[in-house]
Amino acid sequence: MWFEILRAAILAVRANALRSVLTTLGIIVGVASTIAVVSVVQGLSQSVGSQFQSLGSNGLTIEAFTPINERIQGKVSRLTHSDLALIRQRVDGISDITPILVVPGSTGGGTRYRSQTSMAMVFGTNKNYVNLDDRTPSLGRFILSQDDKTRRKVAILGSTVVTDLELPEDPRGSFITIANEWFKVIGVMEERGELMGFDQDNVIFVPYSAGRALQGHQTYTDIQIRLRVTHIEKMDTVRRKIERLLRKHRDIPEDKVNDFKIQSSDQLLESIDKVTNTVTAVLGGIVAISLLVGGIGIMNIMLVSVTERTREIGINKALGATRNFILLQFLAEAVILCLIGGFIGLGLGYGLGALVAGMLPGFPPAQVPLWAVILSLGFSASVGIVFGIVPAAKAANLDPIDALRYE
Amino acid sequence: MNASVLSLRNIIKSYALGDETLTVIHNLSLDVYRNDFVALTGPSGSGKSTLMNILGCLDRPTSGQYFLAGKDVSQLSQDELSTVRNQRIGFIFQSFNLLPRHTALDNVAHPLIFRGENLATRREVATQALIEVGLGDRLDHFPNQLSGGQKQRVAVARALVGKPDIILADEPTGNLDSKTTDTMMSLFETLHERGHTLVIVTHESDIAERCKRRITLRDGIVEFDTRESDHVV
Repeated sequence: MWFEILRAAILAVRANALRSVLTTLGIIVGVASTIAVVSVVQGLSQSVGSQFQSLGSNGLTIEAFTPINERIQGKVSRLTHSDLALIRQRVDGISDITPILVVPGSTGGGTRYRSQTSMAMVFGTNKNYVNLDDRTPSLGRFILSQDDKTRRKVAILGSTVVTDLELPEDPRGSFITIANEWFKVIGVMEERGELMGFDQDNVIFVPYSAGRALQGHQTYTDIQIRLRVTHIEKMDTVRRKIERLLRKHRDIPEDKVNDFKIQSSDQLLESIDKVTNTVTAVLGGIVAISLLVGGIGIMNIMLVSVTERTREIGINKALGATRNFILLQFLAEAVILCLIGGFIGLGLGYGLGALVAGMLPGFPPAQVPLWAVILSLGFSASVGIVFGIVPAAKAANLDPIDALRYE
Repeated sequence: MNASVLSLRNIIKSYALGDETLTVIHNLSLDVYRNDFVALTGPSGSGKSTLMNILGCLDRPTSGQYFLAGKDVSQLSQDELSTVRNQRIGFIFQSFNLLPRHTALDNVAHPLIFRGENLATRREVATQALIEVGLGDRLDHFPNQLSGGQKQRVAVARALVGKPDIILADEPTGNLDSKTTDTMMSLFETLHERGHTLVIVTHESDIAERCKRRITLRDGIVEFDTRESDHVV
């Protein structure tokens, strides 16, 4: 019986092939745009996620954080060298720790080679950075502890800097100036591409001590501290210990919140996920409306189709079709129409997503998650049921005598 | 006398027309027996279409009882009537009413779908029925590839395929020329000889002449009910 209902429905859809496809256009467009949008956003989210994954789940990032009410009063909290020194001395269970210092003004074009200037961000850090960010030089070497200790003026460049400054392909041994100080290029970092619009190759790394020197040893320079715990189980202990220590050191009264943030890379990942998920949901919601419009189109054509086939329905009834049979046949027809639209839209949307991702330089490849496929097909089928029920009921309730007399 | 296949008892059918009630069938009682070959005639407005719809279980009487093969079907629901139509009645219409997208074979096999028969059985039985009406070589033709007479023979095969208790034909020759009409009537006569029960609604007297029993309606009541045997020519 079910097979017969399906067969009858497919036959009817096929009999009006062109009209069927035109009818499903709304669904096609709806599903295609949903899939295209979701695939691009998900692709982005995946690539961001995998890059953050490289930070490792046992990594912690400590940053200064100013609560909004204090920021209004003009206070800005900083994480300084003394905080770093304290953590180094007093916290156990840390395997790698590095400060990251952004040399102020470095993005203003303070880096030069001959007549070329670079807007690269200059980071002061130490040898542990390579472990923490899982990033190694493709040419030359990174900062050694010796460089840091002796405040050696050496620099490791990102590939964009090499291009911008028109340095030789192997720039090792060249001298560049950062804030009017000469730095010797000793290495080039491997390429990383863009992360949320930020070119990760437009960076320069210098020893932390040299970076501090560039600022004239201000005590209150804001730094970021990155560290890795030895054992993942100790993560919470280390974290609490650091929090207690910093609160005490920074004289935060009991009733005040932290003026710094300790984040694990998992948390960073989570917050980024949250952003992409919100974007997906909002965009998905907007295009879902077009599916609704598509459904109304289906209903419209189905109503026409029922009228057109009144006689056929009458014959079926006279020959013994029950109301259920007629109802299910038309419902199946609507669902099939919507699913055809869904499948075409799926293919089209994936193509569109891949095209968009491919055309934007540095954009990660589009990803279509399974849930999006299931959701859009499921949604199409539901649209078919919801908007098919009215025409199907109309067909099922036709009086056989009237229907047979219909010309 | 054969057993009665259908019997109507005090059938009344009336329609509400605004505030008025229009009664089309007035207290009609009638029996059709096994292997009857009935012509139902009467001028337009006599109520023969209405009676035909009631006989065909397409419509329910306002009051009265209708026994089909011993079962009272006068108060059944729409879906129950569908099942009765499917199992007990074979329809033949003036305008053939074949499904245009189905082949002759699929058209004939169609009613069996509602009985839950599988495809192989349906095709087999339908092929037999088409051979019976002389269309064994037209199985895969679509209705628009068939002549009027052939279409009506497909319809006859479709009516026969379910082994109904009664075959109801509503003006079966109304759309046919005189030669095809003759062939069609011969086919009906053959069916009668094979033991089928037929009721043919017609307004053509020469069609009615060829039937063994003639019932004439006028204003919703039976005016004449004559049999060949007691009819003096």
